[in-house]
Amino acid sequence: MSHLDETHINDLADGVLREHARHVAEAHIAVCAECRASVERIRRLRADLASLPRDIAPPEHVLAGVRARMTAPGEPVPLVRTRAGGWHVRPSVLAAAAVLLMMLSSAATVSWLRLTADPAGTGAAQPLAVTERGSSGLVAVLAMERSYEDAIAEVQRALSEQPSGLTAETLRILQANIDIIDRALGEARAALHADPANDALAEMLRSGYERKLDVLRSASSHARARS
Amino acid sequence: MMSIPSGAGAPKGRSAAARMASAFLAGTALFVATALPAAGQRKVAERFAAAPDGYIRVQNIAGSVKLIGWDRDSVAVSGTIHDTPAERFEVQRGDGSVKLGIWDTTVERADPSHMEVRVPARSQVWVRTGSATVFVDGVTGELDINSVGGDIEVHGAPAGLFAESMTGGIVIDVSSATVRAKTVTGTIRLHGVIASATATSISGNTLIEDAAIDQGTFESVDGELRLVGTLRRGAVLDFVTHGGAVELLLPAATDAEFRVSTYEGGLRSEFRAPIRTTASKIKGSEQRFTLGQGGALVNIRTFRGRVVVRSR
Repeated sequence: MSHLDETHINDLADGVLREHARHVAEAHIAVCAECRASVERIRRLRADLASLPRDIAPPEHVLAGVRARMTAPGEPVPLVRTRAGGWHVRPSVLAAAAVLLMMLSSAATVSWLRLTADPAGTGAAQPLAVTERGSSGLVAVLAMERSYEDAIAEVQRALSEQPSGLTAETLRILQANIDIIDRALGEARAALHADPANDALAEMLRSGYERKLDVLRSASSHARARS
Repeated sequence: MMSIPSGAGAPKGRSAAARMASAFLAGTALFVATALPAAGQRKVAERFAAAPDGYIRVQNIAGSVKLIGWDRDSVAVSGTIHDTPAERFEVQRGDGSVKLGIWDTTVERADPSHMEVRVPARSQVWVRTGSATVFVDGVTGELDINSVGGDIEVHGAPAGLFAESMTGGIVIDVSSATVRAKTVTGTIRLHGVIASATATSISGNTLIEDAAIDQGTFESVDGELRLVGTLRRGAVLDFVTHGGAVELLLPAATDAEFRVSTYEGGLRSEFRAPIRTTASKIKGSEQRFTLGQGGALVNIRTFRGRVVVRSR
């Protein structure tokens, strides 16, 4: 029996698998203890992470020590000379640098996406320029899709964790319109995969994703207001 | 002289005086019933000083909110309120800010409350409703209006306007620097003079009629986008829809450049300007044409929606 791959296990744990794929995955973990344990482990990890405080203030004496070391003259940089004469960075510093790099990278990506989506900063959706041709264009589109899917999954998760406060009728209307968007996204995606250099199709796809994110964010903001 | 057929309403054998007394009592009861609030309702009428450009928040679940900007440094609120079992209508005053209305997170539906709120014209106003309709006129500060299902109608000259109703319609007739309107199913109607306008919907239609817009973005997934009127010189308007039609009804003497991109939709122009077509390798096409001197730029993108440019 072949097991679920890492992506499917994570997506199942996160509740972001599409309906058909979810059914298949759930049928698999019903009979596969190993995959079921993996999904449960990730879910527990998510729950544990969610229960952690958002900020942890270090004890004042630690902060005071850090400040003193930062301002002390002649304080050596946290690089260590190796016996071979080269330089290596302490693992803790390396980890901090990695985190910083990831943050900067994420920030740059977000800034780029925002800038691309709204160059004038007006809040108005602007055409996303997919100027690459052929496969490189498709890669850019896939990256765009991925970033939207991530954002949508995040809002959907937040929505699922709080009562919507919306009436059943409003929820039904919203779901019907989400379905309309999903159908439009499917059509645009299929057309774009056949014609990846078509900028207009990329724009249709972006517009569809933007609308979906918009609807979910609106529902989420109403849910927050009423919960 | 009109006569009441016997047996139609007056019991036989009763005197004229008794009938008159009955009629008087019935009339009095009707007057009382219409003049006084129904059970559970109460009337509110408050007026207090407020900053001329303060921040005002108004909330109502169901019913209506009528917001009027006036040339006085005070807020006046009046209306008929239905308190909910858990929450009462409240007015809270802070330093330069006012919060009033009724909001209850424990009820899905509430009996309607109708409130009229007069605010200093330069106030910044934030309104949130469930199904209550919102009407605004005369506010020149920023307006932020958000409703789940209530209709929104705004007039006047707000500095900026954001209006969102998921399932309600939005009517905007303003003179403003920026207007943002958003619905899921509701129809958006835009009129007036607007420097920068954005209207988005999923399946709701958008109608821009007799509006002077410098920069506009109108997007929908399945809704129709329709513009009736003239295009300002130098205006840049973008229309994006997946399945909805785009229809522009313009004067014969229009100066504008059009760039139309459709995948399965088609373009039909009643103007005689030559159309240059650039076909995609696979499917779809981009068509361009210029009317008059080409003073404005109109970009249209659809997947399936047909595009019609007609002469008025």
